[in-house]
Amino acid sequence: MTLRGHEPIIIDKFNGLYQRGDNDSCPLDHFQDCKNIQFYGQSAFRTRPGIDISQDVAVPLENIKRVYNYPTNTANTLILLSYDYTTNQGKIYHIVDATNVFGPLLTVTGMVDFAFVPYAGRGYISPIGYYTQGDLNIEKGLDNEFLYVYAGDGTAARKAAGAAMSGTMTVANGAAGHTDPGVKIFGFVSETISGYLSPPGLLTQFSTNAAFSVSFGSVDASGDPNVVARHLVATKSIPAFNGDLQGYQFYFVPNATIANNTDTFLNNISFYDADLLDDASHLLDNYTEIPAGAALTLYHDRLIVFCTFDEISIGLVSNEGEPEAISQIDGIIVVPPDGNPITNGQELRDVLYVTKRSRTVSFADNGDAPSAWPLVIVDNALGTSIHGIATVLDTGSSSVDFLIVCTYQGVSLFNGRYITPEISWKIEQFWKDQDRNEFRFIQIINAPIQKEIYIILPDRTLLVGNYANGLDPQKIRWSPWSFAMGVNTIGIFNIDEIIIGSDLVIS
Amino acid sequence: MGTLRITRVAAVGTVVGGLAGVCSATNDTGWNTMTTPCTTDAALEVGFISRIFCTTRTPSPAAITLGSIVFEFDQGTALFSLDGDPAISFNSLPSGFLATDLTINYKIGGHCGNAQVDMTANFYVDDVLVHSVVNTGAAIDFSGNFTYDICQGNDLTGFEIIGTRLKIEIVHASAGAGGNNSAYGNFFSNTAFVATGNYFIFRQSTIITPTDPIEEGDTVDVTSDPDGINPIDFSQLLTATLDWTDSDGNPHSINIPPILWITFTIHFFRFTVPAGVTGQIVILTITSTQFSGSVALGKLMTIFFENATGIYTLVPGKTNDTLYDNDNGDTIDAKFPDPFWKTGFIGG
Repeated sequence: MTLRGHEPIIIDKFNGLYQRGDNDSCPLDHFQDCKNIQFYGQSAFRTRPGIDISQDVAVPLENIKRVYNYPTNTANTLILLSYDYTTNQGKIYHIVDATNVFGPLLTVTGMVDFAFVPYAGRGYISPIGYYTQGDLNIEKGLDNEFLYVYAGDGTAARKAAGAAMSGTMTVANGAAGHTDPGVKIFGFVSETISGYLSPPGLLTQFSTNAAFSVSFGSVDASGDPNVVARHLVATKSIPAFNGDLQGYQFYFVPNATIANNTDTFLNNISFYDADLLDDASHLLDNYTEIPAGAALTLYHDRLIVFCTFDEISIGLVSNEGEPEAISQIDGIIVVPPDGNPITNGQELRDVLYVTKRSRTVSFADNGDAPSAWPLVIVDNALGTSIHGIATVLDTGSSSVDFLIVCTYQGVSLFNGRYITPEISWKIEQFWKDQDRNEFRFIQIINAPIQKEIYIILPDRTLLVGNYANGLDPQKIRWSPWSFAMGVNTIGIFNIDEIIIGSDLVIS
Repeated sequence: MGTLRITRVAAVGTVVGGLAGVCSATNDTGWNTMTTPCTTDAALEVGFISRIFCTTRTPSPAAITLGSIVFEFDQGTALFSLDGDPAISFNSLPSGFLATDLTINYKIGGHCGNAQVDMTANFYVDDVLVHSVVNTGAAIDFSGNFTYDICQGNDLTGFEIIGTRLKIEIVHASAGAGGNNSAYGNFFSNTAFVATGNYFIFRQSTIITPTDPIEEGDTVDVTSDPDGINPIDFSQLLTATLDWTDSDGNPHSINIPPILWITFTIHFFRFTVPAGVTGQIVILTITSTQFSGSVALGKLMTIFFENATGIYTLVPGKTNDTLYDNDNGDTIDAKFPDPFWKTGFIGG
């Protein structure tokens, strides 16, 4: 054929990276290889957007390990982990805006990662440790560490939950009033500023008189500066007291609260046994300090801590609306142990999905205690890593009717089952070239405004998928991005602002 | 090679272990001017650290337990005298500083007049420690063996970097150690310690974080600070290597052959990156000739590499990256790392 007879080949569509099989199989409208380009419009592309510094302060934070969006009651902010290599300490900071930083809120030796969920303006923080199990890298709650709560106001984070009040109080008949006569056990429950109710403490036996109210003295102010109130609890009259102060059912006494942490008395409380309706006994079963886990999530207004250092296949589930109240008896859900730790948990369509690296199960709140929630095996082959479920916008969770999950097979849509082909179908080889043992460094976010998915890869570069033409395996357009420095973590806040964190080293 | 001595500082040590509560450390005025002076010894006057004073006799050897005398120093305190010069702090040691040996000598003060007794058996011998000497703001990755002697014996002490401090720990007597019983009981009663040694400066390195990943053929300029203390003389360069860690965490090291040394003058070194370097964080290590103790290497400065960790924001439409320059408290604009694309094979 002469050149004159040659038919020109027009390439007017650019649909991103295609790495499946050998290079010959790459369609003409795709790229065998590409880097640092961004797709826009229907089929155009350009260089990726630049990055700018996010902190306008004299000494910006360095060595960023993890960043999360943190919506407080008043602003959309960031919370992040900076690592000090000279002291081997992880330090949590709260980034309010470009010029205002709180922290370190929490400093923990060996904290190389952390899990986080915002709740009612507060932030719950769980230090994560990186460990090995044979040749396998695993992540668990950091040994001898706990769940922390941060008030969001720059004050230091403190351990979530808390112990019962201790000491000895006095109980005596008060002014004329009424009670059902007989032996009762009285105690006080302290309430922290975050709403946590401690186990009943100061338990004291007293025999009430029908014609009198009851008064309490020497009610020690709790040593916890976060306590804001103390509530009186009591048993109903006990016909034959056996001496076991904790062996009876406690109830909150109506209208019997010391509304501060300073007064040491509560006088002239009248009540009948029939008034005791609000049970407080379950507080005796709660963790007073909650072990750290590798993942946190919210489900049905409950906080769940997954994969503690000692128990890698359980989730600790709080009471509804009480994120720090976790029963050691029935607040536990168990994924069948298989040697692999739980890596993640996420609610979708009123169902709680829990993953391991290659397994997915579900639990459904049936109104009973969490330990009685039915477990359903969803997938015995696919799961994800600790940051492998996409967060959406600035919610820190899924807000659309599906999840985007990084599995070993690829980046998959999940709507109760993993949909195949996965949306990373076009770059299957690229994905499978990633180091599977380093998937803990993968972090994924979904930015629906930009219609882009951002994935931190184990090699500290970024993989971006543009789905402006459709979120399906054929229409999504992929491109790797790299920077002069390695990127470790990514977050999204203020609706569509993308934040990237960088560290000197990978782990 | 030069001489090193550790000078006396205001803060002396603490006594722990078997001697705790019996002996205390004091900061005396000098070896030859101790409260109970011994025979003067001009050679040991330099490097005087401290004096240990015991109020009572230490237990008999049969009851001896391990104990130690700890001298702890702040890294910012002027402590190291090089070649007889005024002392400088650990943090101010010239980049590339390497103490090749450190000798701890003691002298018995309480029994001046008595014949000195061989105390060798009363000292516990530990392993020789190997440490990295980290000079702030400059190079890292130095290491050296610290060897120790003690007069009359071959005891070992430890010279350690503890967080932000330095520690010299002199370990004494293990359980059941032999030696002269009566002498042991008085050994620490009025004993001074001196520390002298030698240093050497022959190697220097720095972390370089390029605005672009280093690639084969890149030209890198390295300068030394001509205004620094004894700036490096690149003209005496012997070897240069690049070290980095790949994405799998595997360390790599590659020699920069002399053929790739473009220019190496007194304060300037330009080289071409050899093939095979793919890291983004690379350590450049230079071996130079053996300088005398009075000629220390200066601080390496790189022209376009910096520590750029931190948090960033993607800015739509921005056509370059603006990075933190954490080493200099500034920012730096950098181009994108080579955007590119390769279409599928036409006709394939």
